[in-house]
Amino acid sequence: MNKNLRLKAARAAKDLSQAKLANTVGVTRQTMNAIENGDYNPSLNLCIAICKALDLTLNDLFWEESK
Amino acid sequence: MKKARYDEFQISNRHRIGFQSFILAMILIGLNGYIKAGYGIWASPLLEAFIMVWIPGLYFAVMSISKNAYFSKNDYPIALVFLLGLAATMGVFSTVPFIFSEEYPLIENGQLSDRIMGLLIAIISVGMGVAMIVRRVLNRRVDGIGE
Repeated sequence: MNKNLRLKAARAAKDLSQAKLANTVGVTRQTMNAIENGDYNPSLNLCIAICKALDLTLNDLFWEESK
Repeated sequence: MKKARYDEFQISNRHRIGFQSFILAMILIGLNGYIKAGYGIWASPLLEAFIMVWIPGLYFAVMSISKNAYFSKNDYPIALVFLLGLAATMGVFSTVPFIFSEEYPLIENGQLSDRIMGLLIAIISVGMGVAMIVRRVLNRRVDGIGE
């Protein structure tokens, strides 16, 4: 799986660490790390929680344009 | 989002490792039957059952610790470390002095003695303790790199 660089950039733009964002959405830092590295596909509920925490939409963070 | 005891990534890891432990238990049961049929009894029924549970249990504990799926976000591993240390100490002191003893041998009449259970408890305790320490060091290193 590809790395989710948009999530990483959005988190950095909000000046949040992985641990802080993970705490906000109720998961462990390791889970957030796995999502950013593309090692884990989060559930829709978790995606929505991350989007709300970063004030972005699902399209902004998780939608991949077909090549 | 609800604050779950384990988060979804941990649950998926625990399911995967649990399934692997189940397969391991199946293989051990089959192997045990084969050995008993071919070579005879190798331990008392109590010890045999204990070992059948001990090996998959050790696998599950160490693997889930290594995948960060053993403790939930709100758990405090310090209490468990203390208990593991206590169990390891008791296991070692109840078994190791008898390893070379002729009065209480660990293998008697071609079978493992029940006294070896203490050693097995010590091994699982030390194994989990070492896995927790290694995991903690690795997590700290990742945290230290900066995100």
